Amino acid sequence: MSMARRILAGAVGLVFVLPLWMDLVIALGKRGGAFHIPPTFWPSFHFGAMTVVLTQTHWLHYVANSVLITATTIIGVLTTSLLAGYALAQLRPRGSGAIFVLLIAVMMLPQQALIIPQYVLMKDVHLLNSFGGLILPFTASGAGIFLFRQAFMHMPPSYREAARVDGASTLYYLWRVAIPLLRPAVATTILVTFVSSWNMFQWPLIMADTKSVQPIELALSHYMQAFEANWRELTSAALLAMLPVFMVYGFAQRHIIRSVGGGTSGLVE
Amino acid sequence: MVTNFILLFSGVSLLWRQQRNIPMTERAMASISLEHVVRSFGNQTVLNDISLEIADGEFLVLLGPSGCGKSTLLRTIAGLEQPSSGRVYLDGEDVTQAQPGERDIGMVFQNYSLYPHLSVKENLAFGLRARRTPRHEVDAAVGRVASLLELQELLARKPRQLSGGQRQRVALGRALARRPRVILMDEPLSNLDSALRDRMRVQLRRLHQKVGLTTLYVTHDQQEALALADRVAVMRAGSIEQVGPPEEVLLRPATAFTAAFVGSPPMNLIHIPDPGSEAEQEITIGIRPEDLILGALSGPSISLEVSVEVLERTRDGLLLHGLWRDREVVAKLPLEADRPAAGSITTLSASIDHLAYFCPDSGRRLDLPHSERAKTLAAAQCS
Amino acid sequence: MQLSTAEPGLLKESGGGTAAENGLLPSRHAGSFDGRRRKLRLHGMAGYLFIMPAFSVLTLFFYIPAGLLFIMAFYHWNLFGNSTFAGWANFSTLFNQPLYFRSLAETAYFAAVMVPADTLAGLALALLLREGLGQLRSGKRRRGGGIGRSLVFLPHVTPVIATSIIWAWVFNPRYGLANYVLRTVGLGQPGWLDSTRWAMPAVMLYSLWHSVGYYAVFFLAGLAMVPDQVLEAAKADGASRWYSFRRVVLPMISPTIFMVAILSSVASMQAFSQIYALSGGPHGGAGGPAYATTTDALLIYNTAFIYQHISLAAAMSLVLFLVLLAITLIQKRLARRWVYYGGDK
Repeated sequence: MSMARRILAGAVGLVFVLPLWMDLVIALGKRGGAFHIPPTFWPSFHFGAMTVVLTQTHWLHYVANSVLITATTIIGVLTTSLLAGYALAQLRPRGSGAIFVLLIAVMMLPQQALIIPQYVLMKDVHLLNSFGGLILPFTASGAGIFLFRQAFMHMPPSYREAARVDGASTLYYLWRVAIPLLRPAVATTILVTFVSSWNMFQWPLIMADTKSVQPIELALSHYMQAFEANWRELTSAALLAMLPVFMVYGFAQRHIIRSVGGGTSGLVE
Repeated sequence: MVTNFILLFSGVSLLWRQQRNIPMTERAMASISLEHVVRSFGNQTVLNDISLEIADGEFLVLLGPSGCGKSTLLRTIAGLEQPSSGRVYLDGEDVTQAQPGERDIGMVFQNYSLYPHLSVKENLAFGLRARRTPRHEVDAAVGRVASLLELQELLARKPRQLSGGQRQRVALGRALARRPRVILMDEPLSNLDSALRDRMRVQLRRLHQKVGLTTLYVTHDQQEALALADRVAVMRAGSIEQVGPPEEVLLRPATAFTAAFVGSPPMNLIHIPDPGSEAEQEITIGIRPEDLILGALSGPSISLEVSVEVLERTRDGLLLHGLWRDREVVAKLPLEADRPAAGSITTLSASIDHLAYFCPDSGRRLDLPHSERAKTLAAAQCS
Repeated sequence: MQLSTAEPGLLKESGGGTAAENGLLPSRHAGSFDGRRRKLRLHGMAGYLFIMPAFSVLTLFFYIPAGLLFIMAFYHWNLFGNSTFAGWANFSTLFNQPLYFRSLAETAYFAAVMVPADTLAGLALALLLREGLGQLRSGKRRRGGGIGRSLVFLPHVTPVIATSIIWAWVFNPRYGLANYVLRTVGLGQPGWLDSTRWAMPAVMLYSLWHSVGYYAVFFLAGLAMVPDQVLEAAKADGASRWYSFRRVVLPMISPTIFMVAILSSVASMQAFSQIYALSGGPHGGAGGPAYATTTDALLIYNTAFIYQHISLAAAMSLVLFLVLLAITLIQKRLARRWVYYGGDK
């Protein structure tokens, strides 16, 4: 890559993060800084709005809801994907080919068109306005099942045979052998589920009216509509919602980006 | 939903429990017995009616070319494969339907299958920990096999930090740590280089003498078979051709296949007309290369006029590769023997007492009386 | 020798190539085994047992609603009481709604801009950020390209509402960043989200910012498949950079272009959160101003949850469902025929 191209690439990259930077500038700016013409581009590190968000409002409560929902969803997706992937790749009961197709075909269903019947269903099974309703439907994923099935198929079968001869039960084998060996697939699943679960908006918008279960994304949207001009507090709260994503991205961006390209390399250690 | 989870967990708890029925006590070793084991996929038969007895403490080697079914047989005993019919007994107990973990066997895989994320110590302890053995018993067992296999220095390492031979020893230790009734090895030396293989062979034999465990060992390498085995079972295309001590397999092969497969170099097989039969039937004669000498012999013997192709020097002799009636014949001569020039015609002879006779159709060994032998050779005009 | 098909449902080792799997052999031996013990039957069931959690979740929350959709669209569905069969009534109501066709037009507008924008901008970004295949192979990573890629991809993982907040500020006609830039370069300053004409372009700009890095990564993967030797050979033949891009690179990444176009169109036709966030407001019902950003997805939401007409929303959903499913299936069919996938197929 030539020098000029590197500089250009860096500049384009900066344009992409400029809005995020402006969020920080306004959140940590002076009162009324958002209305300044021309805009300020450097934060003045006034933590007033952030302190209000952290101490005097319910934002932390919504963050806690998001954490609970995201963490539980991740554990659920990992469990169901691991078990199903293992069964489909190594146990292969009769009809597992058809079952596999059925499970991953979920990815082809247009989510936007299902939201109405899903609402009716959630109402019927009394899962509206509950953590269960925000978590359970996402505790299985076609992509996760696909990933783990691939990973198990790439694993030498003799690991499982050795464990069986040693008298290890299936769960012992999965816990002590498969999970450590399939760490890359586990990591990918955690990262992808984290991003999609933390950023979930439309589902809670429709399924959760009560504040006690709402995640931060939903609370932000309510607040945004009610107090449009309170930019400092809004951007501070938004920063709170983005922060976990930035931290995870900072640690694992290469892994996250690679998992997008549909790369199946490195499923097994 | 809820029902599903209840179903799942009840099933899972059963899976936990079913491995728990083996007491971890000092126990007697065991014999292996196979009765009419058949394994077929559709119309393809991989194991064809195999019956085999392996005695307590015996070291039996399954020898055969790749694809002969020897690994399938081993895996059937391990319970990793189910026979289509027939029975498998361990120490008289019918284990045909038992799970691999219930059979109480140790197994060494060709690629070792050491768990790469576990240390040597954890690898050795895996089987015991899987059975929830008390910690102090696990430590004692690990210590025992570590000292037996001289692994004490390596316990903290990960498999990728080990040499091939060390990995091999850890794989062996993992199989031994549980004090299994029998130990099964699937080509355990084939990933090693030849010098290491020579050393490991001796170590394996010494280990067996020390531990005395019933051992079933699969290999395609006859040198390993002859060096290690109390008895060798030669397999071909899903059937056992011959079972016997190495000397017997080597010196008195029961079939033409065994004769051509065992020995280095293997027996020469030549086909000559059989005077005993009315039609123009042939008989197969086997001559060990060691039994052929240069020149003629007095007394009843076979003499072959061969054109010399290549002379090959080995550690313990001179191999003469010649052509007799367009068939290759190999003779193993003393190193100090006179060397006939390549391209020349020379005579190779063997005493009639050293010859083996095989039925050309079935390949079975024929035990002909002395007089018959002489007559056969005379009629074939090669004595 | 290593045929490892075994005990039905229990032992068939994968690894992708047992004889049974390749269809050479039946997956079950024609067993004449007497008296299987209970334990073995349990083991045969273990496979189903392990699939069941995933299966039940996906069935209950996705397949059953998909089926329910077909029923709801043909009923006067009442959330609180009896529902009565409606036949095509919902659809005839729907097709007499000018707003519905307006929403379809807005959806088409959104998709018609987003699909080429995502594809072209994604490809352009990838070309800018790409590293030579040789560098990828040798494992030498230039920091510049890596950082550029990370920054461009970052918006895609950010939560939509949280980032919509700052973009709402960016689009503020008075003090926002967008009009500041336009003022600086001496261009007109639209009202953006307050204007019926510019609200949709504002939403499009946000959507492009949020998604283009994602598509750029697909293109980066596609470009990495073009061997350096091919480009060098073209260069040796005296091809200009543009010519070799058009005649060599473009055909070789055609599968990626196709895939990105499909992904982008399916995503565009379902866009909801960013439109909801940027076009909402205290006036109830998103998609403003004056329905300027009321796409199909927004109208479905408003119909069901603001206007409380759930059957009509179901009928709209069914249309959307069929259209999107058709796109996906056509893509599967065409992908095989049209596009160069490497190799000699």
